[in-house]
This record gives sequence, structure tokens and C-alpha cells, in this order.
Amino acid sequence: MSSPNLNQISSSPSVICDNLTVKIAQNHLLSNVNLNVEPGCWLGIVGPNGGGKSTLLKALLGLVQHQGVISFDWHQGKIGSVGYVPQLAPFDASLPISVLDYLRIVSEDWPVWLRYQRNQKISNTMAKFNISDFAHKRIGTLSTGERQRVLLCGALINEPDILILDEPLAGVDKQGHQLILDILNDYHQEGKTILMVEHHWHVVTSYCQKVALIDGELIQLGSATEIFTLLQQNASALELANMA
Amino acid sequence: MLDSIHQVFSVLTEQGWLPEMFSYGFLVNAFLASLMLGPLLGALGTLVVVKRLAFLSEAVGHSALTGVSIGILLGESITAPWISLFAFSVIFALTLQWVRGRTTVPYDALIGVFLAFALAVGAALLMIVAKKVNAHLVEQVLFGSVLTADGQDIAILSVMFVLIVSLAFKYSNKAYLTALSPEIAKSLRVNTKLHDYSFVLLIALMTVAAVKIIGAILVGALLLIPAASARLLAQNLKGMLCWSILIATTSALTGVLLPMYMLWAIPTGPAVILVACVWFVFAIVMHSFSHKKG
Repeated sequence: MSSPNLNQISSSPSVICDNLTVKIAQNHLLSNVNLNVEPGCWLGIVGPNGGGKSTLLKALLGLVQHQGVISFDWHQGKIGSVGYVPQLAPFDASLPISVLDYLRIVSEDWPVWLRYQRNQKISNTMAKFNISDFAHKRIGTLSTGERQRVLLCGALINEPDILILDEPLAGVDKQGHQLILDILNDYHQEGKTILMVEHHWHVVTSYCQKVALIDGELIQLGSATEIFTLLQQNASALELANMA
Repeated sequence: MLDSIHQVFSVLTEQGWLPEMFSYGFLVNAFLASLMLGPLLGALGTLVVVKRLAFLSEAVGHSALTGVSIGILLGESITAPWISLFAFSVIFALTLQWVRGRTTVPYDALIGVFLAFALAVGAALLMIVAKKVNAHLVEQVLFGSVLTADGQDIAILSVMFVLIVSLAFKYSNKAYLTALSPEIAKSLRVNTKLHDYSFVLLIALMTVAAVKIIGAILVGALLLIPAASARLLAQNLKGMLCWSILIATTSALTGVLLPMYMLWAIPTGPAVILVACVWFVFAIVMHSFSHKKG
């Protein structure tokens, strides 16, 4: 994939973790993570299940308590916005909350119950994600792949300065994969930062400039090739087959 | 202001536009209170349903019973023990929310414990109260009464109405997002903790405002049944809100007016809730019908 246009000044922040530790009760989920993500970087976060990848993202967002320092160094000190797609966002299928309701709730200040017509920004973003057809479908009745597209649409609709994604391609079919990756790539080309937990190794190698291998701590930060080589040296044949 | 409204109702009654019962001031008060209570409880109920906190509204409703008993024991007016009622309900709701953030006990279990506590204290105090005052007055607190709504109640409800509608204009999207996905809400810098505390506080305030018409035992039900029915009938959030407000308002009005008109000796609280239950049955039938059709 082509690199972002570095001539334009990125509004994305650099993200710095200094001795980040997360523990719940007496369990250390993450220990002493030191990480520096530069503005405009697409960082892939990989590692075994239960290794603390999602916990790292949640700590960055302030969703879990942590020790150590996390800082977002915003361009010219102006605090920007964050787009987030969580790993699991189960919505109750019996709730009459449509896809359009959800997108209006995340993107508008005007009460969702006061006006019916969608605004142009929502329409355009929905068209981009190919979800216009189910605008009036209940969000809880969507398939996993459809829901991921809606959540990503909701994350991007506010034109965030940084995207934090926890397995955004989980449950999405191959056609949907390419659609989402193309949109993310366009976003990245604008010089924006993406932090993404991802299990599909071909996605990590094709799109991420840097990869962080996490297993309770930061094992290594490097290029996809470097991390893959490290994993090849340590992983079993079965694990490698799963990663491919 | 209230006197002017009473006069308008008197004139309309004299001219035969309204049934004779509207010549009674207390009924006009109850009518006005229902007109404000219905939309407020209906709207707030949608958040109760989205947050799956039906049990919370019940618990706060039952805490009103304890608040009323404490108020009477402390010497407040039997028909308007506002200070104790307000203080106990708010303290109860905020303590519940505070403990929630500091324990791993599931929220429904925690509410169950608080509900049991409120009921136990309320029941114990009621026994003492019943010896001191006319038991019929205690019954009014438990099940509501069309006779008790006065000018002060209407003023409090009016303030609540303006407050909640203003908050809804400014914060309803954030409140719904907090209810749907607190994690996404936090990522968008919504202060979810403040929203959660404000929500339980509003539940407590509405309980206080509604307790004289609906009664402490059943006030939580009017937060729940209209929204639960609306959930079955609506296709989107706006629809759920509209249905919930319609059901709550018609239930409150019918429950207040019909027993008076028909001269049935039924307290307003049970009458209101029975009408709401009719709506719920209607919603289930419509929902089943549309599913079969679909």
C-alpha cells in the first residue's frame, strides 16, 4: 500500500505510553508497555488471544483504569476527536433503534426524536459503506459483518483525527473486507493515525506500517516483516497456518 | 395562574363542554398533573428500557414509601411530606449508583438488595405511622389519590416538566448513546458517569413528583409499562418515544378521569396502571400479528 502524503500536516496526535500497566484485581493484563506511535502511522496490534490487545486500546481510551502515563500529543495542542470500534458491541435486537437512529445519535447534537430526515453527511457516509439499504433496519438485527460496517461508519462520520479499531474485520465477508480496507486506506492517506487490533496477517502485512506484538507486555514493535520473522522463529506450524 | 386555569375549566363545565366533574378543583389539578406526568414518565421510560433498568424504577418507587413514612414520623404534612420524600429517594438512588461503581455485584442483584431494604424499612415504618395517622391517608400514599394533588404539586411538576424537556433537547442523544454503548460514548468524550448519575437522579425526582397521583407502590410501573409497550409497537427511536408518551399520557388521563366519571371507588394509581396494562396487551397482540404477517 502507498504511504500517506507526508507533505500535509497531520491533525492526528502522537500516542505515547510510558510504563503502561493494567491490572484487574491481582491479574496483570498488561505490564510496563512503552509505545510511541507517530502521527499518521497505521499501527497493527497483534498477539495471542487474552494477550491484552483489546485492553491496550481500552486503556488508551480511558475505559479501564491503568498505571503509568498515556498521552495524546495533539497537533498545536488542539484536542481532536477519536473514532472507536469496539470488539463486541451487541445491540439488543428487540430495541427499535434503527441504523439511522444510531448514526444520528453518534453524529448529531439535534435530538434524534425531533427530525426524521437524515443529513447529507450521514447519507454520504452510509453510501460509502454500502449500508444505505438497511438504514431503517434495527441495529440489533444486523449480521456481524453488517454491524461492523455500521460501527465503522459511526466511527468515521465525525471525521476523527485518530481511529482506534478492535478487530474491525471480524465477521465481515471478503467483499466487505476490501470495502472497509479501501476506506481505511483513504483515511490513512490523509495523514491520519490508525491503531488496529487485527488477526488477519495478510491485512497487517499489506496495510500496517508498524506492528506491535503484545502478549501481556510489548514483546516487540517493528515492521510487519520483522514481527512475522520473530513469530516464525517462535510459533508452531499450526499457529503460523492460523496467521496466514 | 392555576386559578385562571380553574376558572377556564369552570366556564367550560358551565357551558356544557366538559363533564360536571371538572367543576371540582382537585380534579382539574389531577388532570393537569396527568398531562405533565404522562409525557415525562413516557419519555424517561424509554431510557429505562434501553438501559434495561426496569427494576431500578421499581426500587426507587418503593423507596418513596420509606421517604413518606420518615416524613410523617418527623412531623411533615401527611399529604405533602416533600422534604423527606425528596431527600430519601434521591439519597437512595445516588447511593445505589455510587455502590454500583464500587462493587462487582451484578447491577440487578444490587438493585434487588436495595429494593428489599427500601421495602423492609418502609413496611416497618408504615406500621408505626398507621398507629399515628388515619390509615386511609397512608393508603393514599401507597396507591395515589385524585384528591391530593394541589397547587404546590402542579408547580413542582411544571418545574420538572421544563427541566426535563430542556435536558432532553440538549442531552438526549448522548443519553441514548450512553445507554446503548457506554464504551463508544466514552470514546466520544461523553461523561457517562455524569449521565448515569443524572439518570437515577431524574428517576428519583420523577418518582417524587408522581407519587401523589400514582402512589409509591405503582409509580415505577408507569415508567416501565408504556416504554415496554412502545418497544413492541415502534420501528425506530422516534416511534418508541412517541408511542411511550402517548401510552403514558392516555393511561394517566384515563386512570384519573374514568373512575371519577363512572363513580368507581378505585384509587388512581391502580386505575392508571390497569389502563397501561391494557395498552401492553394491545402492543403484544399487534406485535404478534405483525410477526405472523412478516
